[in-house]
Amino acid sequence: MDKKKTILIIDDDVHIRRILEIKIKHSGYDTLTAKNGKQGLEIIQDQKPDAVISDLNMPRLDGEALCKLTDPIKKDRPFLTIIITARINPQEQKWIDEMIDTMFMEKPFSPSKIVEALAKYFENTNS
Amino acid sequence: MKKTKFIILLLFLLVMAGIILISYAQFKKEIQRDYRQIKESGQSLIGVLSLPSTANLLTGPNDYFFRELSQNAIGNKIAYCIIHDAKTKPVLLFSPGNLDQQVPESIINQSLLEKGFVMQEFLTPQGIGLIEFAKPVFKENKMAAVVRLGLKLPTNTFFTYEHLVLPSQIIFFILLALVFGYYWTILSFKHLESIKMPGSETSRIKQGKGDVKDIIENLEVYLASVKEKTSLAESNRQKLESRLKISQFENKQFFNIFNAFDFGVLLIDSRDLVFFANTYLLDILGQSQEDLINFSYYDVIEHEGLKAFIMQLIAAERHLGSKDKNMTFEETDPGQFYQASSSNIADAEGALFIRLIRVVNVSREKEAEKLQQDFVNHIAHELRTPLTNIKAYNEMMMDGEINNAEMQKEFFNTINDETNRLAKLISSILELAETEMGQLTVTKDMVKTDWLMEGCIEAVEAVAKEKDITIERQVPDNFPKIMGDKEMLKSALINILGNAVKYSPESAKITFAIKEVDDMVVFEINDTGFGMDDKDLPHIFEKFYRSENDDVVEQNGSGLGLAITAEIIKTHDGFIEVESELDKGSRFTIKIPMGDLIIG
Repeated sequence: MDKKKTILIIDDDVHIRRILEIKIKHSGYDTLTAKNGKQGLEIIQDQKPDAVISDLNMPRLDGEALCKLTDPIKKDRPFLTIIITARINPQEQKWIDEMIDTMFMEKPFSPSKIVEALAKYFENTNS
Repeated sequence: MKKTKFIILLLFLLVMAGIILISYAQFKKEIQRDYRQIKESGQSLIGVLSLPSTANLLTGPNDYFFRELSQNAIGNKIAYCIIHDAKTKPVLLFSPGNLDQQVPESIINQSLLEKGFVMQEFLTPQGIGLIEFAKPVFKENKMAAVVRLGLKLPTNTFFTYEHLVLPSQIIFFILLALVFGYYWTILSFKHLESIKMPGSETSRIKQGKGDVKDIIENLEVYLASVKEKTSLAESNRQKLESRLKISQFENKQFFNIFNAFDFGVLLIDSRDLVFFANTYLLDILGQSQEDLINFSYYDVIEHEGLKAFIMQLIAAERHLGSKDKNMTFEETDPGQFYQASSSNIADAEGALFIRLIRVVNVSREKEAEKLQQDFVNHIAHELRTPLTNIKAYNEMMMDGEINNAEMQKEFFNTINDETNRLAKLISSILELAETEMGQLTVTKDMVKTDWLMEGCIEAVEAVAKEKDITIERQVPDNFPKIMGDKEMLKSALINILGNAVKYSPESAKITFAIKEVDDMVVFEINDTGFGMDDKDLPHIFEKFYRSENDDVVEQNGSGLGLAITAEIIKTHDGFIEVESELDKGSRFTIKIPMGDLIIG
């Protein structure tokens, strides 16, 4: 039996953190949470989560900066990043496409869809 | 008129007679020349033919002689050549046209009987003029033979092409001279007409009897008139010169005006040549007037974007309308955005006269557009966050994933809170939009400050009570009154008082004071809350600005409240000041002019 995958949830909104935490735990994963990008980056470096779900607009370190900092880490240890954004625009689409294993989901998102994306990613990486 | 016609006819006849005489004289001269040439040729030829060697021809070979003679027969107009022996019997005969048959006996006899050179002119019965040269040939002092040579006299007639050339040439040159003379005269008269004396002046010339005095007087009058005309011409010249100078000055003035514009101007004429470029445009193009003026724009404009715009513009004159074009001048003005537009200037007939191209710096508009875009993006983000929560929590409930009663209650509360947050956000955005519209929506009325204070405290009381926060009132003996929009002012103060409650720890103390200073009402809200960082202070009135301080991030907020407050105070010609220190608290001071109170 594989070890439970750990998912890091980064969002400055307490309710979003809470609902994602419940949904992801219900789906059989372990969760970690962070209030901003800075905190999230520290957790990524220390606890090496298997996937990251992050808001785009956050205090301290936003989602874009976080992705750019974690992209070099992904070369050695790939993991999925799901960026949650209010509305995707062409510039955002461009930098997201340039990142390793990074996708976006527009608000208002469905927690089930996030879990589906996680499952699909782990399925592909394990096979 | 009849006299003139007669003179012209007479002149014409005289000219014709003259031409005929000249031609005839020329003709006669030619005849004489030909006649002389024939005589000379005959004499020299007969000299050669009568040499002693000719006698040998009578016995020896003579083919060569006849061949040579026949070759010369045409050129020398030889009619015949007969060589008689010593007994006058013709021995050798050369006569291409058999003209020797027509020579009268008398002529032959004369030639044969004479002991020396004979030259006789005669006409054949057929009317051909001939001249016979005859000379005896002596050999060893004895007459061995007689040579007779007949040459044709010139048969020139007057009416041959050759002779008609001369009169034709003369007539042609006379006609040419007449035509030139006619036009020259007309032009001279036209020129003279411009300085012709007016009628009044003509009357001034005395119709004298033609004595010297009259002539001199007339000449003086005429001279005065000429002087007058000359001075008029001079004044016209001066007027034209000054008009030219004015026009040049006006051009220069126009160019000065164009040069004063804070946008680029380029004028291109109908031949696609650059007519003018103002200094603004030259600066951003990095080119000089000399580089451009009177050259085809295509050859001299180095900026590809502008060149392409002009090309499209010219193409569009024939097809579709042209569109404004955005461009940048990175080399000369980096980071700035420009927009090119154009208009065509036509002359009175509607034909294209000049194309005017404007190149305007639109960086500020672009910046405003970006701010607007950012604002919309912020609104989208702010609205979608509570919406996401409502959707996500609802979805989990509907999927039956939450069975625990306590969690269900939590979920319902979150949905409720987020719905309220969404509603509040929408009203804030609407409020901001209304406030930004300024005076248009403000309904100023007399507002009692005690009512304002109580209204504000009432609005935040519930939350304050939850956190055990006390709000202390500091009031004057008499509450002042101000002119303003009571709902707006209340909203502005609630935002500040609400923030004081929101960003203060539990059991904190807040003071709300009202004072009257120099015709102004001063509201002061003091808290002992989290305070603000120095780096946050300059931005707190910006839309959607939120501090990254953890104590602030913890709390829900749109970042619109203080922006709305600042806008409302601005609408009321008031001021807002903030003093704050991190972990110590903040003091907001709002000053609103009392205005002209209407006591109803």
